[in-house]
Amino acid sequence: MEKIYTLFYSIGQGMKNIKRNRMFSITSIITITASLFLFGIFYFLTSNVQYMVHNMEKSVSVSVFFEDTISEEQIQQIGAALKRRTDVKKVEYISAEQAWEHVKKDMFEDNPELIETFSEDNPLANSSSYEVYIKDVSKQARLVKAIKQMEGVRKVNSSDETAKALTNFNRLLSVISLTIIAILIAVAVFLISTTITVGITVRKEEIAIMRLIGATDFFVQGPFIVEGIIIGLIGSLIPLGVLAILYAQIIKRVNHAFASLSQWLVFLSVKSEFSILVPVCLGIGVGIGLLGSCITVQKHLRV
Amino acid sequence: MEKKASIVSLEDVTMTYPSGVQAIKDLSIDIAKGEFVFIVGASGSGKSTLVKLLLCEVKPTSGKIIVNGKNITYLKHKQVAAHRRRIGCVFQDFRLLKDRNVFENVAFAQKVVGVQNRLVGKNVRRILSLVGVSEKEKTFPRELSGGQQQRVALARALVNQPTLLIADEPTGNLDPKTSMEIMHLLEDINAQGTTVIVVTHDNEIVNQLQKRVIYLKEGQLHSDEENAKYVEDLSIESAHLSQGAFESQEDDEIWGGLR
Repeated sequence: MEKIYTLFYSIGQGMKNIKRNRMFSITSIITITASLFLFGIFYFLTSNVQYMVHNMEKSVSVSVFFEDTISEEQIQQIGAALKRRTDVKKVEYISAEQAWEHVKKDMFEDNPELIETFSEDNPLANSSSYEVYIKDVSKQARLVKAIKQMEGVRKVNSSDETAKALTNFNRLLSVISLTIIAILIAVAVFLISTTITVGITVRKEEIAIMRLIGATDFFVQGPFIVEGIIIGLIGSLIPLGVLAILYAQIIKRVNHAFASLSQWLVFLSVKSEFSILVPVCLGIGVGIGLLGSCITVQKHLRV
Repeated sequence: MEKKASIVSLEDVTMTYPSGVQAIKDLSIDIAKGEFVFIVGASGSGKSTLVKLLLCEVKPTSGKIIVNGKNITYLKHKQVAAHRRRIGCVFQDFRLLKDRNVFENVAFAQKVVGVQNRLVGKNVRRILSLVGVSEKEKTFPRELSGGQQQRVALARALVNQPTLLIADEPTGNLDPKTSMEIMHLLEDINAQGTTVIVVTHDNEIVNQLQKRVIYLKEGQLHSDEENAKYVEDLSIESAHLSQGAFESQEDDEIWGGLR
């Protein structure tokens, strides 16, 4: 009974502390808001780039061409060998005819008369190939090397530059963002700690009297811990709200402005982004608040 | 003669501060339930340290202290709160919360120990009328006289119904007439069953009230007599001179210990 009462007292007193200590509380809230806002932005960037890379990976393939002298049987053997590899997701055989049809469609769609010059000759005769789809684009180089060493393989075409660049970009982005966020979180913890210290200093006399009357540690420290948690909570709810509105708007505008790139610019939905962002931000925010206040209470309210 | 149950008992207590100051030396005292006792002595005689020992703010270097039938010599930090709830305290500087009115100051003590809100009002009003400041409920400490502030402090000390009341120099900031009023109030409280320990160096009140007097000198028991007179052998001036440096340091220790 006393514990429940003390809990309610702590919550009420914690809110009073925030009001009394307005300037510092607001500064702390702003710092947490800023760090979580940045965290959200970086999260949007990295998760979407990752998602796009993933989408690209699905369409990125390696083309395997054969020696002119190769037999059908050998082609099939190569195909089987490729399928056996664990890093290969899918192998597709493209005959010379299919390849030619593809080129015709791609390049001469607008000038069908040009095709006439080729008449019935398939300029891509002997250009049958395997399209090899890889599971992890970052391991493409190894696969290409392995395929090149296979007997009967003339040439391997790969177009991994885009995927590679995106992966590298994403890695860089993660490192930068994590560094910035770590610094901001440290600043936030420090600021909360300062806020609570001010609160404790202002109420030193009151705390001394509390102790004298026989207040438990829980009773003395509770309000300050609650203060930190509330600051953290507000500091994480504000950026979440702003980010939700912002993200929906950005997706809408980018898709509208770059309609031609819609094949590549596939964004994650607001729902799927926030199903992760909400718990993570709340966790970080409340965690920062808890950490900052606990450190301070341990430092100043120890007997 | 049958011995009454004791509420405070010190056995060969010695207390040396980390700085090397030996504040209490081999002190043995026994105070029975319901007694009214003066603890007197010059500044630096160990009175303040004795109060701190009883409140578990400091621990003795050696010896044994029993309060309310409980050995508090090596009380764990977590048990200190429960121990203090059974002791009421008033001080020379009243220690009221300046930003709260009389009612809130007394109610605060009830809140600290987790009394339900609906009971708080009744308890506070009862105790305010007992100490005679009922009509000042909504007044803030700065608007009260010293005597009234000490009454409020007494109300706060008593509202949780302690078995023991410790008054550390309760009249130090009051004029002689008000001092006597407060002392009579303490007598009334004692008459209702609460054990009262008054720490003082005011020989005027000690000599008028004719109670048991425990006289400390340099941390040791000098005398312990019923209906005793207290004659300080140091002149008031020299006591105050030595007080300055020593007590300000002691004050820091009091607040430091409570933080």
